[in-house]
Amino acid sequence: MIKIPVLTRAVLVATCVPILALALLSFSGCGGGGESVTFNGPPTDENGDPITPDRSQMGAAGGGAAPAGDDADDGAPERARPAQNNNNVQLNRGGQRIQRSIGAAGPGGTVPPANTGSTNAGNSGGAVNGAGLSGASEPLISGGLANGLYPQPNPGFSQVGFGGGLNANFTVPVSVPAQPGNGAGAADGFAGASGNSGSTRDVEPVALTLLDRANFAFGEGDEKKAFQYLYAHLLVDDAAIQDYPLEWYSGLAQPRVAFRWGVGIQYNPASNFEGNPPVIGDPENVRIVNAAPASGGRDNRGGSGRTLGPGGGGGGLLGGDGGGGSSRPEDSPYKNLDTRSPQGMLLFYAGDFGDKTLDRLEFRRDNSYYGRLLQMARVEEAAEEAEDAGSEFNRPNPARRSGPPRGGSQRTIGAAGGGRGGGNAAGGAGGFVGDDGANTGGGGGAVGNDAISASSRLQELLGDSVARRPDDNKIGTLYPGVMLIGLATKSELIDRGRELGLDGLLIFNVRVSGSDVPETTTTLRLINLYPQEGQREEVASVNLKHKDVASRREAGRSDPVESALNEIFEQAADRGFRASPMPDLRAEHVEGRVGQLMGETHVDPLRPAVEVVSFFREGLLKEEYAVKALDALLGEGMGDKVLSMNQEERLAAMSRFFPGDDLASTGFGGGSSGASRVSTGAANMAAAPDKPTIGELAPEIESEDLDGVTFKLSDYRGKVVLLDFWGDW
Amino acid sequence: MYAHERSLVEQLADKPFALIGVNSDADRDEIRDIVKDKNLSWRSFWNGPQGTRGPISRQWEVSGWPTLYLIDADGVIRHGGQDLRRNLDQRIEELLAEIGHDVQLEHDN
Repeated sequence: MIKIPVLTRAVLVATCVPILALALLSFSGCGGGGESVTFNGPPTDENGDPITPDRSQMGAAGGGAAPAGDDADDGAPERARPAQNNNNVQLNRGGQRIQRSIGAAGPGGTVPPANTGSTNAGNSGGAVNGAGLSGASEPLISGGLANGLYPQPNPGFSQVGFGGGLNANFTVPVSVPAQPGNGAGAADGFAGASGNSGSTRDVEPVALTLLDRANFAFGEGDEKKAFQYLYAHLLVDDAAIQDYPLEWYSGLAQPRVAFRWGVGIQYNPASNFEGNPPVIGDPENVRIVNAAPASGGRDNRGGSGRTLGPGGGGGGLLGGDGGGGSSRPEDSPYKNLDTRSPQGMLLFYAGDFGDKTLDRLEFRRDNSYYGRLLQMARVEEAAEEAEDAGSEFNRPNPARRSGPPRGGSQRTIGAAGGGRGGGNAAGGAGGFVGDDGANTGGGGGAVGNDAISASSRLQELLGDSVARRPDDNKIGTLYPGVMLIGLATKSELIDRGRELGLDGLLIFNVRVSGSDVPETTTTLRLINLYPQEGQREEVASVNLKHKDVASRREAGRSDPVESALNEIFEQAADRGFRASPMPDLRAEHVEGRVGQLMGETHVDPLRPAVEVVSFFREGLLKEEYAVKALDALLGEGMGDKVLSMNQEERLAAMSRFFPGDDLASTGFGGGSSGASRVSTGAANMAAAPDKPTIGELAPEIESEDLDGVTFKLSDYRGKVVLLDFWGDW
Repeated sequence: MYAHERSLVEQLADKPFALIGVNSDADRDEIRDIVKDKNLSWRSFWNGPQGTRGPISRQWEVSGWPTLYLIDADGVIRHGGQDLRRNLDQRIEELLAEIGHDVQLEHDN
């Protein structure tokens, strides 16, 4: 069912491509006889501990299913994860200052109990899906360098090849990817603790940080702007660029600080078919949801609301395994969908296939598959919009809803408080091998596997009016890092994805036959927007006939939707579209890569700028090159500004990318964790008497030196002291 | 970047001047080795295992590295920020002159 590009096994040849646009960069190590670097022993992580091979390798070695708990047991030290504060930020009407409630979403706070331990808690029950398969086959997304420039670690290979070389050969050591974010209990326990007050208290207004602005932009559904803010945050804040390092995506053969998904719709009804598309999860898959009078909708809605309550009623309607809902054959759970939101549009066309896809993506996002930056990002909403949300007709768009639980991000947000520790601790114990169950089984207890996630999201999306066909061009945030890109043809969607700066796409192609009893088939396609030479954009696809899904569910057999998603995610997307450690880069790789970035046009130049600055901070790129590259990417003179030691200067340099926004009021510092936030705003000046102020006595420092001996800054009274905040990176 | 600092320390060795670092590397063992390797003779506070998010840089509101502050003999912060790096030698000379030490700094680089 799955289409796999046939690949040859990678060879140990690296490639250098001459960068014509960058003749000024010396590009040593390429062209001549080449150098050879051998692979020295097992790869280690940042603590020097050996990294356990990833699951696909385990599967290959064992020839069978990996134990469900292997992620918890693998002993791989966990990466520090930034704490997630559940600060609830609200804009006032002036838009300049905010009230910040700290800990609002803690366990006793405003997150409904339904969130606690919902999705992720189910991980322990996960079945082992495809684990045995995964190691046995060729990598699905693989191949040579992206445009010949980068060494490429591939999951499942201890050494990796680089195809398509032009003129040079050398071998490069590569790391076996660690598993980012698995066994996440400990770190997330910490994260939960940081939002732990559980009570709401207002503190003095502080200036919005760029991270806050990003979260608000997600709340507005403006994904592109949100990412610009995230990238700008990394460019302005040194701590942030350390916290959110580049990670490697072998499918792209490029590094990213965040992997961005798009979800698109293709819709091909027969010419004589009228009405709304039947969807998977509809109890009668052959029935068409026709436009009906609003009064009918209201009646039905009552029924839906009752039947679909999370954890209640056995989840009969959606999973087809309870039977309770089917007593109302006309009562499609998707009948009264509010299709004005991106979520609504997705469910309108893709039903619970789309819904479960979002679950998969969300689970992966929460577990660092797509970069730690996206784990941090969330949907925040301006306070004034909360008032509108109360009106009867205007059911909140889950991505825009005020208050902590926010549709697609609901579990994430709830989890960031007390719930998260518990939820992901369970994930660690169970591993995510079988996230089939993981995404669907939790929370509801006795509820069947299929029903719970769909019903919880769907409930958010039910409106008072009958579902209307959404605007084909609807584009918006499903949740941070995943955006809906509307309805179009496959090639148009691919173009759209590129224009939006995305990395991978999932396209639902819904086809409806024109017979009296229409049959519907949905195909889910996995698209790589950065295919390597000789590869197709479509990495994998899977077909589901709605009729077959319904009959298998009726018979209580394993859910074809879950199997299909396993094929798309575990066997394909997780191979290439999952963060892994950066390969061991040398200066010549980096210079080549930077040269490539300079020669390309970028829809969002801040993304490559982050890459350049990361390389520079890592010591892999000389300052003069970094300045030139930033000048080329961002505009003449920007290099010096972006690399300036003065944060305000950097911030000012960013303003050209945010026309109409007043960045001058932006807060600084520690924004990456939220825990050490400081502000340049006047409101904070009085709060800390011992801040450094020119013309005032220096704040005392009493601390250990590098040898562990305590000393004080004031010990040096009587001398002129140059205090140098430095680091060797 | 170390060259300039090393040069300052050497030239001002017999003056009432001290270069005090606040090191923001998370791994103290590693940075101790680097200090040894590169022969960095001045003393540094350690910002703690949180690295750049450690308590000292937080207290001092540092979010860019390197960041310099120049403190006079009375313990008063006199200069900091971008201008300081550009005019560092001159500023040091001025503050030393205030306490009666005339110095002309020169650097090879």
